[in-house]
Amino acid sequence: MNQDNSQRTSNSVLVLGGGIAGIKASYDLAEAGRQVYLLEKKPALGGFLPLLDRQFPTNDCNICYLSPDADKAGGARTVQAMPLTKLVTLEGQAGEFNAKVLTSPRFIDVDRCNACGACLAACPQGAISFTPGLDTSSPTCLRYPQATPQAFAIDMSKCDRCGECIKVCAPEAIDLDQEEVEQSLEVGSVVLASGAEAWDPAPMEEWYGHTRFPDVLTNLEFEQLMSAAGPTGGKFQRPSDGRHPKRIGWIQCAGSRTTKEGGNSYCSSICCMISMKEAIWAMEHFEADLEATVFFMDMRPMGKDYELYYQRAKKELGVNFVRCRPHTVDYKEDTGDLRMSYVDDHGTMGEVDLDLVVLGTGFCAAGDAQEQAAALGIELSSYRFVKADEFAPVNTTRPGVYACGMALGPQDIPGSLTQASAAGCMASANLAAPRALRREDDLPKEQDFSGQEPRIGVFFVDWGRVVQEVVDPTAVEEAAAKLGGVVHVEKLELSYGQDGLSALEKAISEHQINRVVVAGYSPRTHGRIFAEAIRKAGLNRAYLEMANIREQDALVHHGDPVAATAKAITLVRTAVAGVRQAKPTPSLTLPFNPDAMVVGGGVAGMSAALGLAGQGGKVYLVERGRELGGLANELARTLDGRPVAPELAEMVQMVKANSNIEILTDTLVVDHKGQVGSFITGVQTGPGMFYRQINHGVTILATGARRYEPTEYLYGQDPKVMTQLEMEKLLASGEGGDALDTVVMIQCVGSRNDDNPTCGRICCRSAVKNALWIKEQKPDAQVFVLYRDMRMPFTSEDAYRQAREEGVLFVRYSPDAPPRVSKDGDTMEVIFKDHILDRELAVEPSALVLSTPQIAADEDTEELCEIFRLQQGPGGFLLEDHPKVKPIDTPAPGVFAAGSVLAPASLAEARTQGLAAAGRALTMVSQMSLVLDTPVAKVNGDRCAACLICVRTCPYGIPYINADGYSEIDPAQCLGCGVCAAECPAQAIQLPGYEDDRMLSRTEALLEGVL
Amino acid sequence: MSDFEPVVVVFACDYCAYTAADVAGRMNLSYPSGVRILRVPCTGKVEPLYIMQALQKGADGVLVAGCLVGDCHFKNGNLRAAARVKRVQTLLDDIGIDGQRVAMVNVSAGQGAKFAEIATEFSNKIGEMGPNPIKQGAKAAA
Repeated sequence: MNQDNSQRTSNSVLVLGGGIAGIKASYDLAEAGRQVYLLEKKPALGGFLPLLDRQFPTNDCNICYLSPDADKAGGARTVQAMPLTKLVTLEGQAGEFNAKVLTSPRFIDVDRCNACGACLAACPQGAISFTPGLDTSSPTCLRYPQATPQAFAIDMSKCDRCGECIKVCAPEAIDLDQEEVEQSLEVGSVVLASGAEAWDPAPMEEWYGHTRFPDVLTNLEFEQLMSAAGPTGGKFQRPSDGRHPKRIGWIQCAGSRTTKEGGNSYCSSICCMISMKEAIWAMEHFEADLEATVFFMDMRPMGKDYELYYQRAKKELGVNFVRCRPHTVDYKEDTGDLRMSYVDDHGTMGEVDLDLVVLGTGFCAAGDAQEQAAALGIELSSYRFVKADEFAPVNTTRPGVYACGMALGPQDIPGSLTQASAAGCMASANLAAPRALRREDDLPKEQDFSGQEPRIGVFFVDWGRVVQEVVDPTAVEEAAAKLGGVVHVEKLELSYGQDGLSALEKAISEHQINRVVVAGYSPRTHGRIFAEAIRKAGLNRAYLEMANIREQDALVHHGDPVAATAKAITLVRTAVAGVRQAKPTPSLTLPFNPDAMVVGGGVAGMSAALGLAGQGGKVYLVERGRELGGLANELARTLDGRPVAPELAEMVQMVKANSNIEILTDTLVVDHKGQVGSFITGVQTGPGMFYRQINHGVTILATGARRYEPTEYLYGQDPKVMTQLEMEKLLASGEGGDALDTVVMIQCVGSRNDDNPTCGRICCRSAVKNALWIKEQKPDAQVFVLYRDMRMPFTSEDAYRQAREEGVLFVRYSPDAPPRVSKDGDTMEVIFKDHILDRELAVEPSALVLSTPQIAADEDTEELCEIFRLQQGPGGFLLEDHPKVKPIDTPAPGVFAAGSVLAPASLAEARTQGLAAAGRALTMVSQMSLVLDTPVAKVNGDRCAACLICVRTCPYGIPYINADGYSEIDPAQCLGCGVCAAECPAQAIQLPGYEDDRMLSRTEALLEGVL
Repeated sequence: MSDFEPVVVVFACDYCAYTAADVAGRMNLSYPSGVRILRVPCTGKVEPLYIMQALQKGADGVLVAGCLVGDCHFKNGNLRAAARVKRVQTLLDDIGIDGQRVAMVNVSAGQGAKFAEIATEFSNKIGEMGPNPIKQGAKAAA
């Protein structure tokens, strides 16, 4: 962490990779006032995300949540998205790198292309692709409507320069003579987010038959089969004969956790969840009578609360789970079905006939990982992923170069996003003080149109042939010109390229236009672009309305041009009626206190404090105990086997030495008020518990969890019974002695049961860590690990393998028949059933070690939630804003969370989340002021009867009755859903853009001529 | 009734249904052209008044199209909308307009095909029910 950035001059970061991790890092940095160059090798941003039909654990299609980020990253003024571009060399050092980058030609001018698709239809060689690369066999499918950039690309290896595409391209965007361009960029930091590749099952063809049998699919291929935008158009058919599959089997660990050639020995971490999601989704949406079976070795739902998802799949949704070692997939000539053979839990061979087999394939390092690492000058791990460690989880071996997402190893989306925010935080520490965005100041002053008649300009953007073949442009333009208030009608030659936008701005000033209707594209994809354009011309952004005559007219009524033309006129009329009543939405600028409060002085809290210190204002680090360090103080070794104490001591020292951090130990938070940018939190501090108020702009909660205190297995009654942590202390003392002769470890004590249905997430890894340590101290020790599923994600699988090789015995038990412990005098006996031998065994342990989880510090977290107005999730942990896309944010703006207050966390996770929370906070802190210009609900105090309905209905609890006795809604907090406005019985609340009279005008215009 | 082409107003949530309608377009699907969409930030913003006004102005049917249950961008706006639609249905039944002319539906942003399907089915259903009786009254008055 760089303390002094006064010497730094660069404000730029190079982000490599435009998947969700790279997009998140870029967007966080851009929001924090940084210039970002976002490089992507492919023609468009997106990475793996557009390939997924649904995402666990919510089973949503999260495109609508994530695409605004992608859109902002691509469209934000400080993010320069550079598709088809790769890094060649990186010279210099942190704070002053010089990066040479090479951009391959697209052969299509992005500024001119309007993604109309005419070239795609015309190309005889299939050389043109829609950019998300969703499915090359069906390039027209647009599952991802907000692709950035929204443009096609030509694959020159398939093109024979026939020129058909040039003939049909109305905006003249095609240039087959484009050449590659090399550029040199000055940046202060680099964030590597280049992702991974889906493992290709070809090397294990012998076992899986993926190439030979069309009905053997990988999980990503199956995802396409289910997708409404996929090759079958949402019809659920198996590829070989189009039959509805009734029996589907998912084979887990296909190519993972294997020492067979062509596979990977690590665990891919996320495939269990992917397969479960696919099984659930297939059952829910295609076939109620579908037999969905997951064939697995250990189920590893690793993320927060994923265990609950697994239990629901098994117990409520009827997905079958068969624990086995899947063996071979064969084809049955007579029925055309597949037959899979496996070795079950008892060691017997089994066979099953299936209509479709889905391979739970994992991910491996990108093919060009080595080449890229060489360009960056960083080291890779033996699996060619980026080398990182527990205490520096997003660092690479080169200072100033950070990593996030699947470049570090297989990872789910929340993990990638968290790392991205953490890497963003680290990257910005090498930069000069951020530039305040102040975007309003750069723009011309908004003109005041109050009291003036509406002068509406209707602009038709180039619809492309697809639209013009259906809708008669002349008829629509003539009709538009006759509408009341319309003073100008113009066709813009380009859809939204710069020329077209300049023409729009010019027309606004020439014709004194004060309201604008843009007819053509959807407001979802193009609204922001045109809103910014009219703002540049001096109009408030709210003076725009769009008529969606492409997606919601021409494209859906292609069979009926007369009706489509009539509907286009209706849509334009509706937009004109709406915009006629538009009122400006004032943008609100609030001062922002750059100071931060971090609650909790463990690893997560200290990481957050260090991440923020020196980058914003002052950091108040509040710790309830006397010492910093939290639960990590009790750890001797990290999960990767390194000593914790020196690293932790160094971290504590850095915190103490940092002049920007004020440490408040023995301190309790007692009250909290205010809003993002101006919080006031009351604390009681020191032995005297003096009350003090602290002003700060953002809050990070990192209050941690507590250890589960077991009541099971004679814990506390016999000195031989201990927790993993106590065993760890014993090992660290080096005085284990006879206690290490015969050690029995029991997993899932206090977790995955009725009282605590969640998984402890790290107890398996702790057990393997300690088992190996015991073997290290006493090689002839007998160690038994009694487990339910060994959950050893990614390379911890190697430690698991090593433990087995060193003779640690892993014996699975079923929750119906857990191990029993009996004691007779001084003799203690553990009795458990061995599944393979199918008989009970009895062992007299010299130590019985219970693997107990971190559990929510329930009462403390409850109190915290009350003070900060947050909620607890299942298991009592703090509930994040969104488990998938906002894992570090809380629903309260300006309040973030990190570490085991969210879920049981490893050191690396606590460290990453702390940095990520700091990164998220920096997006706000660095701005010094908060500019709000989205529509928010407004109360007319004269009409308000203080009936409290709005107070009760607001999903976020924002309205309150103010001192004057009427409802007040804080514009800084309102998200603009309009629910209060709809419920208010006195119509005292209105949502700008959707006022009652404006909605009525739209409805009237929409239905004109119907009666 | 064969020449009757119903007019259906859809109040579509910006986050899900409106986007689904866009996706339907991009997938080149089709639904009857009498289906006309108005964008709202959340179906929780759709007041009973809006639905009644649409019927009063001659719509033969009204759809309120929000996010899937549990997926509302604003937590529970779609549930509120569903409750309001139920109230409006009862109200309509009381004044002699079939409450089934109004319906709440849920689609996610990616479900273009489902949107087209719902729009078509609902429009067909309204087609069978015949024109909004208000139209008769309006014509008689004219």
